[in-house]
Amino acid sequence: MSKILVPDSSSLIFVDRRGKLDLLKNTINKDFEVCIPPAIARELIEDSQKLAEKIHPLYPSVAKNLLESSSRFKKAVEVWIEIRPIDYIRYSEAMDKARIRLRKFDKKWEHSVKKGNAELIALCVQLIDNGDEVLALLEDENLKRVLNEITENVKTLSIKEFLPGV
Amino acid sequence: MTTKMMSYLQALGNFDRARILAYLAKHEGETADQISRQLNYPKATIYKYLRELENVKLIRSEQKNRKKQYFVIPFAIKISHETLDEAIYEAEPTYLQVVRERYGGEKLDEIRQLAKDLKSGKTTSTLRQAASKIGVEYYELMIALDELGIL
Repeated sequence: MSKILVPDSSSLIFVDRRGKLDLLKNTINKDFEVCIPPAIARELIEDSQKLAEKIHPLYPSVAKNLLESSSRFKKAVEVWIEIRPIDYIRYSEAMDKARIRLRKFDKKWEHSVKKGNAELIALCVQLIDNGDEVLALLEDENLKRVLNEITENVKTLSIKEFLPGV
Repeated sequence: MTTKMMSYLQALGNFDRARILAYLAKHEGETADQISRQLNYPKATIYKYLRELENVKLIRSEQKNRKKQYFVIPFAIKISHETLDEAIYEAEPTYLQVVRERYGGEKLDEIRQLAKDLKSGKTTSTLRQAASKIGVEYYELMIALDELGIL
């Protein structure tokens, strides 16, 4: 049984913007493995890169910061953050359940539910089923609520609770 | 101080604004009507430039007999290669400015409203859904919320 930390992008963005990504790495090194689903990795690496390209002509300094942030995340997933694929066939039910519950917030169709939310929940369920101990780092209260509705076995904390003083 | 210098430079970088300021320095207490006539600019343009100069505190206004009079606030700018470099560094745009300029003030207001709702626990959507509802990218919403002290 492993202890696994599943951070949402908001928590990682928060830490990175304070230059504390290494602090997070060193804090968890001994106790946790860190896993994120593919959708979260895309948000951190590709979305920030695309955003930087879009705003570069007008705001080169801001774009530069975004690109640097994207590179740090890219390096992190090569070294200490694992992108754990979702077993979509086995966990399609968990994803659907997540989508239906997330949908209630906006009264929209399930297919419009954002991928990052659904994948993060599905990954937590998948890890619990594997017998792992899971701690999710979430800044989003509504996402936290849905995750707790779907599984009671995942502990959730905000990044400030996990890393006080950041 | 340096960001103030940048805002002065931006305001004075426009010839018309600089001309109005120079005129006001010699004609303290004039109204927008008088300036408009003397400098031969449309009134709407004068009001726009006066508002911009007032925003960066290069001029101030006083209401007298239902008329607004304008006065120059004394200032001095000392520029060297070192201070200019420092000023540009200090004036680096925040992401909130980027959002305002990229999408307009309304989107920024929506983000500020979301920040208020998050503080009071009133939000009815997840952050990813909120980004999509407002029409900004999730990553930039996270940065904007961080700058607003919400994350």
